[in-house]
Amino acid sequence: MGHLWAAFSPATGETVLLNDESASILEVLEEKGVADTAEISASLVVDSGLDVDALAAIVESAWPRLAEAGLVREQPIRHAIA
Amino acid sequence: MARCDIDRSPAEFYRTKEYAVNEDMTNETVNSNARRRLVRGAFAAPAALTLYSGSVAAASVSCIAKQLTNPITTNGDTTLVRVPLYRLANGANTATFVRQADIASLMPPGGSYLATGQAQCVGITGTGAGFSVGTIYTSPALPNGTMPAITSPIQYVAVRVSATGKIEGVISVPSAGANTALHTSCWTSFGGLVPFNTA
Repeated sequence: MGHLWAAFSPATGETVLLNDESASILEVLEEKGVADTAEISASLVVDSGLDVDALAAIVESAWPRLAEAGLVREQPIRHAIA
Repeated sequence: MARCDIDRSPAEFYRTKEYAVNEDMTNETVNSNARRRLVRGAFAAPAALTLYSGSVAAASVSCIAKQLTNPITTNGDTTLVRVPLYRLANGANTATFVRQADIASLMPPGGSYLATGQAQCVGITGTGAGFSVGTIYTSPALPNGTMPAITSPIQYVAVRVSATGKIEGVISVPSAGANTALHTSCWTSFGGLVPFNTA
């Protein structure tokens, strides 16, 4: 949709406009199924040209709004034995 | 001397939270490659701005329906976009703002009414902590340097988008025929702040 992305969430019944940054986070999330901030940030390092720490701060701040918009949902923490 | 460790999986140390795409969301919205469109070195704040249908609101809100007897024109405005409000408080005197940063991602080449770094005051209590409704400020702050913080619980206001996609101002309308969409009474019924006209 021009320079924006449109997404409809049946969970909220609302349509939201996303910029490329939000859409790219969802894109990575869709590929991985479930991921945390570190994993998302690592996947976007090459495309964004930013370091992973700077990205992590930005991605972390995006979760509340994306969840509120019904586009993502928080998952229980996975437990793994190394 | 024995050493004891808490039995905790390594994952717990870095997986503070995990997220998944909401399963109700259609794949079509994200299956194109947004990452290719990212500008290297300029990863902006992710934005998700809710769109509201003016026709749905008109059909479901009684105060809108009543206005059919005295319609207010909006000069082709077709879309309202919800953005969060930010607040500065100095005791009982507060001011709330709409930030350019929250609408920047919607700006077409035609631009917006707010420039980079600016915020517009859209509501006050008391003396407004020195700010006035409708005025646009660059990096508003209290004398002690306190910057506006997002409202908690979060509050929203609707910005008005013209038919060409240009953001014209914050929705509200004190009088008919002033390039506004709602009467003050309707704006109040939506839980809106003190109405003003930016047109």
